[in-house]
Amino acid sequence: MNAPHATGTPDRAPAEAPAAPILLAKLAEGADGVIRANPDRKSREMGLAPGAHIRIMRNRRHDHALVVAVGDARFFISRSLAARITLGM
Amino acid sequence: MSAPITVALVGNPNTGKTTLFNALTGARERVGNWSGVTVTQAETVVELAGRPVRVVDLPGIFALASHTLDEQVTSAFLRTRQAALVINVLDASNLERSLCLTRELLDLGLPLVAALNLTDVAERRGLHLDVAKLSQLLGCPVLPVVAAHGEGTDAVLALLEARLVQAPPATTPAAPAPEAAAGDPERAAERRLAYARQVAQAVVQRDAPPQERRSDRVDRWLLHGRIGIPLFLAIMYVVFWLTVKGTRPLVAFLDSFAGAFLVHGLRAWLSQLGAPELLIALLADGAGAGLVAVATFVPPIFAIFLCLGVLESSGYMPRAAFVMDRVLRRIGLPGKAFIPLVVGFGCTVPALLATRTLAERRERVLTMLITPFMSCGARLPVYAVFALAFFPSFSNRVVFALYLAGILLAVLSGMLLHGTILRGQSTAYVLELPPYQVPPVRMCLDHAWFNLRSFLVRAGQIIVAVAIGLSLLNALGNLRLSREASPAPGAGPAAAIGRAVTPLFAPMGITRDNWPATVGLLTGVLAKESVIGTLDVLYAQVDAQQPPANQPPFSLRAELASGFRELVEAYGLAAHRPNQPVHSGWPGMLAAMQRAFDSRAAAFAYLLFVLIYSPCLAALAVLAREAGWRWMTFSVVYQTLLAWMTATAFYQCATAAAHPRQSQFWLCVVAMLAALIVTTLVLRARQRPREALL
Repeated sequence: MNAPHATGTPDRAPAEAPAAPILLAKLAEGADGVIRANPDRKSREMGLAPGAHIRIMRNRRHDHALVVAVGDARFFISRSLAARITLGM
Repeated sequence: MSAPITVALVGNPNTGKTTLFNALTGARERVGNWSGVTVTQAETVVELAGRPVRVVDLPGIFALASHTLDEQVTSAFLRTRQAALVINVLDASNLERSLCLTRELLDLGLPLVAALNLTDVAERRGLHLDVAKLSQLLGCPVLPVVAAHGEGTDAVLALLEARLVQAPPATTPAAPAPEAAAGDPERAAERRLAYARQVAQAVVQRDAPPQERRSDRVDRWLLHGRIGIPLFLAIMYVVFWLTVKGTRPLVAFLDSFAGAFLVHGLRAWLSQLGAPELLIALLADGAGAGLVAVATFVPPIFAIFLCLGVLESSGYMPRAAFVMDRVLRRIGLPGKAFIPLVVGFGCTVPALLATRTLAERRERVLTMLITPFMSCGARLPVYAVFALAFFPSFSNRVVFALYLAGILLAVLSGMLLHGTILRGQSTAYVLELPPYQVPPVRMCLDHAWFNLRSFLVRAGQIIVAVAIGLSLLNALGNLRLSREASPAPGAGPAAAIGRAVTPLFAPMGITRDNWPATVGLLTGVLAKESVIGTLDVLYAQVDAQQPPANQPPFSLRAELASGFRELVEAYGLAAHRPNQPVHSGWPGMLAAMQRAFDSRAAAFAYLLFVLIYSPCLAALAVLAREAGWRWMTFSVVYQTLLAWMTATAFYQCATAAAHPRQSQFWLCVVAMLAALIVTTLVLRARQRPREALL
């Protein structure tokens, strides 16, 4: 068995992540970030909580929704919600 | 017998609660690979060591603070402390999120047992869980299970038996709601998250960081802007091809097989016994013909529910919601409103209930109003019969066109309602995309069988009752006339009602003599299944008035042999005999229908009307309960008017060359009606604010 790489799900970034707030909706495909603030309670409960490591799987300008990965889970999020979630890179 | 002890299954959405519920109790509740399949409380009573145990399956929640109607069901159930034991179903592949709810349940003081489901998925992702440590940290038993394969369910049952039957736990006194206890709900949620992370960190070991999965690679294509919608349509086309064309030989076989016994055989046998004509009409032409009609629906209904079951369990449904998000945004709905719409292809009733997952009442009402445009399984037999009678060489394309017409009308109606009385923007939302999975064969077959059985019970009762009723009315009418003169075709009260109403449908191509088609539409309001049962009985009676062809005397053996031979030929298992006509099912009804409808245009206009007009009684009852009586009435009036306008416009356009002036007149009437509907809705929206309308 390989050595344990990380524990728990969803995966999280190290605590010393630099502070550079950016909106989730603005992040390009393939980019990563750590959720800093999410004012939407439902999505926080679903796993998009502050501290969670997030990766953009799909973000096209003409789409009204984004596809993101948080740990092993995949979500599609409306752009209006993504525009309210702030990330630290 | 003592009162049953209650056990509730609680957990996050799509963690396999219903699968576990089915595995523990032998029930056949609906399952699917997306969040929000279970929207109401399901329960059953099982016996454990001779004592009754009430097992309750609750809709999935992430936290007790409920956002939607389905979540409120769970929240209210748990807060009223009805359960002597709560089985908290955890997702082993996403433990941290599951544990947030576990913490909340523990805070509530509920007696808890954790079922760690999806351990196989976790293993495949390189996640190793220390179950003993998890149990120790949570302070409750934790049992690993793979509910889909029934693994570990014996241990759960044994634990239930030990905890409930041998020493039933006393229900703890009601604790204050966790938010109330913790003060600030935000802080309480943060504390639960911190706890969940801590526990998950302690018990989960990961071989490697999360990597791109096969599902992600598939999603690159399925979610593609230009490929997604055509691919969805292609999938639906394959479903309808399999349902209509793939099952046609089986339909013909069942028609021959069941007809040989229940209609021709029964008629010959009763005639030999010297039974009165009225009794023969009731048993053979009424009940027998009704049962044959039900039997012929088995292959297409089973096929469509099997296909929908495969789609639902594969994980494709939330992807379809993503793909259709852009379209639904135009009518002020979130993409996830598409899931109830797809469920509507099976049956409108669960589709209406599925709207409970939507957060806003405006979104729910709008989705409920357009859901009946999704053609349900009960309408499929009508399409199949008409397609076979009038469009035999491209029947599957005709059926597909009808389904597309339903989707188009749903979008157009949504735009109209969104622009007038149901204005508003779709709410911000998030929907989980579960990983794709190979649809479990048994689960899909169970899903198809469960739906087929429901259809057979409902359709059997309605169709046979309608068939007997109509046969009786017709036979009585003929008997009465036979005392005065020779009986005329269609002399009963059903014919009289049909003839009286038929002029209303004349603009869409139903002629005065085609009164059975009108009666079919009237009985179809009770249940769509009864349309074809009505047509079968009434056209058969009209057909009986035709001069008899040179038919050989009835032989049960010959009919059965012919049916089997045609079946094996149709599926290519035997060479087709030259000069042998292909029997396609419902021969008597098809011939009578071809005579009754003056053109293909009239037949297609009739199908359009069946597609669009008022939902059945069962759907209306749910609509009234979920949206209110005013919206239910609106749905009946709006859909029936729209059905008449669409069918009339189609028929008049298709036959304009034959009668241009008449077509111009009726098209003007349709345009005026459309203008009237739009104006009424616009004025209504101006007079009353949206909140008052809702």
